[in-house]
Amino acid sequence: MGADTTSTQLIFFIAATVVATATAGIFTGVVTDLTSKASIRAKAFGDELASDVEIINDPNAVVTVPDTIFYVKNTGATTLAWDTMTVMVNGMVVTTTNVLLDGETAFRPGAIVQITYDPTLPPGDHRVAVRMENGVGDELRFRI
Amino acid sequence: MGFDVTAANVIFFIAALGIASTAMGAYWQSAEHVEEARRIGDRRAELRAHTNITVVAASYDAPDKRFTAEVKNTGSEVIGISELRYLVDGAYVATSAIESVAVLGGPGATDLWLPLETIEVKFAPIEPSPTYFQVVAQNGVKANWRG
Repeated sequence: MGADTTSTQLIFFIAATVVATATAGIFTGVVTDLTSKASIRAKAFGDELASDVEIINDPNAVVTVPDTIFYVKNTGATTLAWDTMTVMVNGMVVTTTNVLLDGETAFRPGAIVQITYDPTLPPGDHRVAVRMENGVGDELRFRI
Repeated sequence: MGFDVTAANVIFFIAALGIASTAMGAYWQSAEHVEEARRIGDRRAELRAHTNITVVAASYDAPDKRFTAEVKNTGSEVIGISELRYLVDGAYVATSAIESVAVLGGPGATDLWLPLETIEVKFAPIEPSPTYFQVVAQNGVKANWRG
């Protein structure tokens, strides 16, 4: 075997090693990225399963004067972000003022958020829905 | 097969092992998290299905302006008394406005509300006489009364 053949084989060896390493690196990167995103998705799904909220208003006696007041209780097993909840009244997203009751500092399981909706609702049938950041929510139909 | 092909195969094999190990680790971790959440959700649904409460009586003492309600645990689950929340005439009653909650015929100090037991809830003076009363258990199960 001449020096020229050995040099050619060495070049092929280096080239094959470089290409194989690059390809393996790309595959590893893609799979790591996918598994990382799948883990995040699974965690979000798990949190959603363990979370729950309930509108605990008495549908016979929703306070409407001077403002309409709703109460949302965390009936799940996780602490939720209460300041980012979406409130819909009669199908429309509305702006509300939310406060935690009983001196709570976090919307932990068992805690209650008071939602104050400024406009006074007219007499008749109404529907309020709340949706938390992770997708869990509740709806209440009531009559004034 | 040349040495270059063998080297490439070894690199691919090692990379495949790494990828499989990462993917399996992530899969088991995710599956465990979802399974744990599912167990919590199932347990919550079971507790809720077995919880039931009924307002058996409510009265207003006009001279003292005191509202008192009697609520019976008609389910088969033990309920935490301190976890109960109340609405009078649709308004939330702060825990500071609850004078006392006692199990009728039960021990003096307890937080456990056993099945078939009745609790008596006394509120701080309130005016006028309430028309609506609602009690909410920790898991969201409610009972209503209308005067």
